[in-house]
Amino acid sequence: MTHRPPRLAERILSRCVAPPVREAAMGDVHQMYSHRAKTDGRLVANAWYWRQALRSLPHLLSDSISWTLLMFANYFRVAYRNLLKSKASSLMNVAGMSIAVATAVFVFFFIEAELTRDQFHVGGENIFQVMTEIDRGNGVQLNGPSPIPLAAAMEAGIPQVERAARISYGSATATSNGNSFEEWLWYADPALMEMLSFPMRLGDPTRLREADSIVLSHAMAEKFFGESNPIGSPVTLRFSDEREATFTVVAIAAPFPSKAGFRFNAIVPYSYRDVDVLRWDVRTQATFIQLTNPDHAGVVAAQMESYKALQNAVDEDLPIASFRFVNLYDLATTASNVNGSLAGGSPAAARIVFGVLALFMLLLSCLNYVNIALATATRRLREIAVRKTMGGTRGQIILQFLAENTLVCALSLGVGVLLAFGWFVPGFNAMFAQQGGGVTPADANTATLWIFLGGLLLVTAISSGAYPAFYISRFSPIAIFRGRTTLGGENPLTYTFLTFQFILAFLTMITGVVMTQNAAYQADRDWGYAAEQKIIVPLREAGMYEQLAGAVERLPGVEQIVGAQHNFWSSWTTTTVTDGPDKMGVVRFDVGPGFVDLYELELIAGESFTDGSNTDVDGAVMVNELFVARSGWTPEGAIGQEVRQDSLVLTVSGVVANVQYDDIYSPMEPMIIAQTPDRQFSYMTIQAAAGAAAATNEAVASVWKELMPGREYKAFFQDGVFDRIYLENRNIRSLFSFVAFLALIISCMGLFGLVSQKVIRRKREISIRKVLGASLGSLAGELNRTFFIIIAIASVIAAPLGYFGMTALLGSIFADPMPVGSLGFFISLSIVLGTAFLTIASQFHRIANTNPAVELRGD
Amino acid sequence: MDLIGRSEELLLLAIWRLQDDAYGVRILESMNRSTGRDWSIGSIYAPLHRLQRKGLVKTTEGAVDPDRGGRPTVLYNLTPKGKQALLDVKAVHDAVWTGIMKLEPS
Repeated sequence: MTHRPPRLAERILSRCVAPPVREAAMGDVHQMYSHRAKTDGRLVANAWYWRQALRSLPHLLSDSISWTLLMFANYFRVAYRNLLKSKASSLMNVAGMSIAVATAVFVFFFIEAELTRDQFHVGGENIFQVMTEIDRGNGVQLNGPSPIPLAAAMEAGIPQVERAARISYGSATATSNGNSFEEWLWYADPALMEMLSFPMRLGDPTRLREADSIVLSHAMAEKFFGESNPIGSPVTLRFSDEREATFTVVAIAAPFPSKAGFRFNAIVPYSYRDVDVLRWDVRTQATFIQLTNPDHAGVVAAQMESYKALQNAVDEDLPIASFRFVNLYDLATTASNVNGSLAGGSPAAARIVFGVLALFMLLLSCLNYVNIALATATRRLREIAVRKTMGGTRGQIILQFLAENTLVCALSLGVGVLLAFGWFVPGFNAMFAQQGGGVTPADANTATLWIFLGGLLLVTAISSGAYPAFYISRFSPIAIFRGRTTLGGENPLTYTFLTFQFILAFLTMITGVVMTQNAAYQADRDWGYAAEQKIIVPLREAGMYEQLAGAVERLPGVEQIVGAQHNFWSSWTTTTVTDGPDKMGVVRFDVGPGFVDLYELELIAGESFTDGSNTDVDGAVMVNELFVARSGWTPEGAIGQEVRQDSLVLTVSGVVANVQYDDIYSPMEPMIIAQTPDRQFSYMTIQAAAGAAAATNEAVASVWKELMPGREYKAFFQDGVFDRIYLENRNIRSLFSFVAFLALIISCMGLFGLVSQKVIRRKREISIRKVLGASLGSLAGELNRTFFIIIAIASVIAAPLGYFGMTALLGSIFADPMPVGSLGFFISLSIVLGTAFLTIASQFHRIANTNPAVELRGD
Repeated sequence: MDLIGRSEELLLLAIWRLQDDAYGVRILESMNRSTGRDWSIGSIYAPLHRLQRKGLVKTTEGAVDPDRGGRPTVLYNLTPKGKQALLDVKAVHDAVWTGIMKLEPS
């Protein structure tokens, strides 16, 4: 009678022995066990077996591991040889895959930076910006600014609030070390420096507590003091209300981290802001609170009702619907939805679009790999059959194929990372870094990057390699040797993949073409006012207009000057008007006499301001078409209508065409133009004679220097504000065209691979057909019919997808999106079809030029 | 000349000593006898596998044995390379053990 050794011990032992010696070793222990069981009994034998198993483990494990490593090295050596053997398809695979990897790596940097903005501020999970939600009739708007007394009130009244601090923007003429510049600055409560942790180069920012202290940014310190250490140096600031004070430099910031969502130039104590800090209707740019525990946010929110009441009692014009706390780390991702946001950040749409594009590219290149692997598998059927008859298991063949594919993916990963660093990132930065949209790979979290790269390798390797490996390894050697197995182009899955690839290619091409069209559309848009030859001089102090006007008017080349409180593009008031019970959010521009005519606003109905009219006295305002449309009036019917703004009654005296007063990304709002002749203007518009703009600007600058010694002249041309928009548009267009081009290249490489495989496979058939008199045209049609059907199906599927996708994309970026027309689709279709046709034709050229006799002679 | 390790040398010698009877169980017994130690199956097979990979031994499968759980007996023989490796080691031994002062336990 024979005994079986203990199951578990046997299984453990068997698992640990390297496969080549497994049978021998297991047989030996079994034999010794049987012998022992016969002589000493089963229990003793079992104990012996267990002891053997446990004592053997270390030896066997180390042997197995070294053997496995050796096997893998072997797989990769063979894989390397196989890749070299089929250079063309390997090259195509690596090229396509590395482009996709480069895109993915770039997009990783972009998204990673967006999602981790401001995380260098330690303990930010406890810090929130208090924002306000205001019901503006046509939707709730999230506003960054908050009432000025809120910070102090919350700190004193809510126990869970550990600290609170305000930030307010200001500007002043700064003089120090013999330099004088106009600088923007923050008024901030000293507690802010204990909440935020901007990296510092010198000094201690918490010394902002001291009176007359100032914290400088790296850039500003360098501008005034160069390389020397300015801690303790005096800086004199002259504010716009002509107050002057001297500050002591207490800290210099290090250059801002690239992930800083908001930055400062200089910080002075909040007490220098000349404003009544107890007035609830005065706003501050931002209020930050620090909670003892982030979970308390809800508790704190519940205690905000009394502040809401305080605020709404004095500011009926813009009543707060509720307060909202936005975490410090979420400021950048929320920024695009916040009116008057402190932090900057791109909208979620940008991250989604980039992510989707990267995914498309990866899919394209993985499908290419699958298609090419299947198409070339025919060539390797014999190898597979031989391996199988020699005793190779299916698992080994799968491993061999996976090794080849992992090698391609790893190679592509390397090339792709190089491409991303050497080409995509610098290229993108050259276009967008100036607008603050650059990408800094060095600042990406290293651990996340490695995880991402590892994951990328795994995902590309599995998604491109798994199917071919399992599919090809399935075939039985007998069927292969008999010639029964056919593989490759005839596989319906290949066609499905190719269709899908071309759908993706169409979609990216449509994106590129429509974006190009959109750039032209945005460049051609009517801004609604005459911007040419206009020099805008911002006036920072009361009385400056009067001081300058006389001298400037006498300059040669100056045709006319007008003043205004606001400026199209840079400044306006956001407010609410009521018409009976209806509320409407509007923007208000206060302008001086002559402004409406000088800017050539197009009058739709009614009349312009009469001479000497003063809105504050007679209530006459002009409104834009959007105002009329939102109020449900006709332009003619609007004349004489009355609306209330706070306590003022405004009467519509004229209707003008819409004016693009903000950038093209923000939605336009109904507009009120009011005329105030009090000459306390903030902007002077100087209309220069044709061709004399530059000369006039210089002349005005010298007048300025004479009249305002020591003050920086910071004028700009009104039509210059469009340049930024045009540049951005051109860059967006270039970006999407580039991506479309890459996607097209990848898909055409796939197509090329498939067609060439098909031509190789059917060489003999084609030659015989040629001998029998088939015309080249019929051959081409016969060979490529399938491919053209695939491309046709792809275009039919891609067109509606592209239409809805592009309408949504443009709508999410632009306030007034271009309607997506059919022209873009025809252009995309022709480009893709043309390239596909060229790809196929290049292969067909080969057929046309081969002599059938050469091909058939071999038999 | 690549010298083989001590356990590899002992294994090769055991295989040579056993000749046509050199399969795992016998090899293990021979090793235990000649060294006076208790060798585990793992400590035999890890170097055996290494010798196999280096091409110093080759295997032949014998008859299936019910005592071995239905597995065949796997016999080991030296290859010419294996014999040469033993001769090399022996030459080194002879060289280093000759002409030295008599070695006795102190």
